[in-house]
Amino acid sequence: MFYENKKNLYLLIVAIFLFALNSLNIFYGTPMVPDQHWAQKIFYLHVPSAWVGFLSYFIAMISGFLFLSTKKDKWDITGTACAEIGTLFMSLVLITGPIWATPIWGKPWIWEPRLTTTLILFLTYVGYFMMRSFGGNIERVKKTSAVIAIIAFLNVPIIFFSVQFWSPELQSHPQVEMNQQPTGILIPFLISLFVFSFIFFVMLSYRKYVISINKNLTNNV
Amino acid sequence: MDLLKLIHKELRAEILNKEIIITMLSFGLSIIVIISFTSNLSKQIIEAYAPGLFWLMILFVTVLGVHRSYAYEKEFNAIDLILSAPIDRGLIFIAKALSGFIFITLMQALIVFPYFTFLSIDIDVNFFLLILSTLLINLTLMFVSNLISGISMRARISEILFPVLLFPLISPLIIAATNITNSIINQVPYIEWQVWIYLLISILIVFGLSGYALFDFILEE
Amino acid sequence: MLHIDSISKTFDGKVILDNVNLKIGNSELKILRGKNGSGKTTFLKIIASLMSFNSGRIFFNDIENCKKTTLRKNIFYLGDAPGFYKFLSPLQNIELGLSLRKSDISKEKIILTLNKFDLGNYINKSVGIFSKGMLQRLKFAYASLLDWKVGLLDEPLNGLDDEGVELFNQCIELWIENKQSVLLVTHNTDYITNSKYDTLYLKNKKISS
Repeated sequence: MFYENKKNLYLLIVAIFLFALNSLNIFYGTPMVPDQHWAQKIFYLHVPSAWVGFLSYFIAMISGFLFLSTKKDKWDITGTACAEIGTLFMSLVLITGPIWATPIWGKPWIWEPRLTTTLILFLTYVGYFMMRSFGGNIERVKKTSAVIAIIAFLNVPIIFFSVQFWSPELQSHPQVEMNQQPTGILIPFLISLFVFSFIFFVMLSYRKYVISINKNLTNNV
Repeated sequence: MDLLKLIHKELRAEILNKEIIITMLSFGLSIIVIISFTSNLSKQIIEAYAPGLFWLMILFVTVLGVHRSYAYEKEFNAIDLILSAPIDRGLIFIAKALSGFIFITLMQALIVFPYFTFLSIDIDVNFFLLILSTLLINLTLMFVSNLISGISMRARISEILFPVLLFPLISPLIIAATNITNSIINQVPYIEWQVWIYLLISILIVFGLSGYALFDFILEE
Repeated sequence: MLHIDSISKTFDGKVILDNVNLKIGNSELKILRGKNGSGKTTFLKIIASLMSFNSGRIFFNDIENCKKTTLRKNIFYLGDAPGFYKFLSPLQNIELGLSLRKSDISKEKIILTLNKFDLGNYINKSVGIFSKGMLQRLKFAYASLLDWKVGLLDEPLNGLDDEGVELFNQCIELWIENKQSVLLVTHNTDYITNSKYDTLYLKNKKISS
């Protein structure tokens, strides 16, 4: 099994440990921002989730390219795993975003470019998973879902700029310029970013393993 | 000129059974009637909303029309006739998009009068600019929707998968289209809305090129 | 003329074809048999470069890695599905197919061929009303107008009456005379026992004679 490989087990334990430390650090180790108070703490979860989500979809696009050019199953597996994990983190972004926005902007949803891009990518991937489940011929589904992963990510800058031009008054992302942050916020943020990325890679290797096991099971029946 | 032969085939198909134009026209007209019944508000609101509603209607109509143009390829596996030919398969995509452009433009020319009459909107604008920008929007719309329709064509639930995938991916185009038409109707100077034209052109390039390059993979078994 | 060298194809991890080899020379006909689901159609579609494969090489006229368009021009796959547009007439369908293959066969010759296949009365009717046997005849008419080198025929005898089978045999003889080669998949035991050609079997993911 997956965790019989000692390396995987240690990685999992390290990931859990890091996550716990990171959470403690966010609650007790970061300074309070005066006008946001506790609400600002979600920033340390929201932004790293978004980073992992986009990274994941980016890898899904690269895997899509590699699958189409090499036709190797491992790229299809990586692509699927990334699509799943990316969607999980994008849902976290879409949940934490409104939680953060409610006290800051006074309402849960504002058509802000980053949030909107996340929402649209998320919706595109809903279509991706529908293709995966109801597409029919599996060999063809692999190709079409690789194509979806590619165009979904190519569409990201287009969505971002269109929303930016559409509602220029809504540029007020609560914490935009990272280089203007005091180090008291920046360092814990970077730590959180690292921890989330680490968890992402642990999840990815596990998910890839589960998908390939599933494949072997259905083929041997 | 393989491209011309393929476009000729699309046009001949349409002249023979008129499926696409009739589908689009009858559906468009019924949407207009429903819009008139559901938007019995003040004249100002309707006039301000008219461009958005117009593109909303066109989007729905496009879904039916483009889906139809791929559905008949599946009857009798007719597409095998062109897939077995030694042609560049990207041209199939270009031909479908260009003929779709002709159909949607024709349909708009027929429907624009009932649209403004039923909703009692009077406009007094630069028609040259309006027509030119609408042509560009139609072309972009067709490139995006034909790529997505090609992707979802062989899926078991293609009629659902197509709009589910299309709507998120096409949202930047709808934002751009609404803003362009709105600006022209309100006689905003070009310099203030030229950014939307650039956005449209970049969508056209991104989806045109990826459709041309990826269609071979989409159609391959 | 056509040399297939250790082609493998997996279908979502499941092996369908395992290092399959095949050689077809000029004016050769080979019959391929195999159980349902043994991968015969997959194999033909791979040769016709309509389907991708995982590993292996295809040589056409001793040239490896021919362009897909070259292969598609010279290797013709005649599948089970009709592959014609319902609303077009037989003539229009054939004209479309021929024009995409850059062949300049005259309309008279097409009509002559359609007459030969007993479709003369339907030249301007739409293909949508055709019966299975008529579609099969139309496919042969189309195939005999093209200038392919290797023909891959997937169960061409389905739905044909005796007269149709006779026409089919004439076609085959004409093709062989023309230095065209044919790979024929069929389940029709009568045809196989009566024919003078080699039979190959696709069994356990491999081809054996």
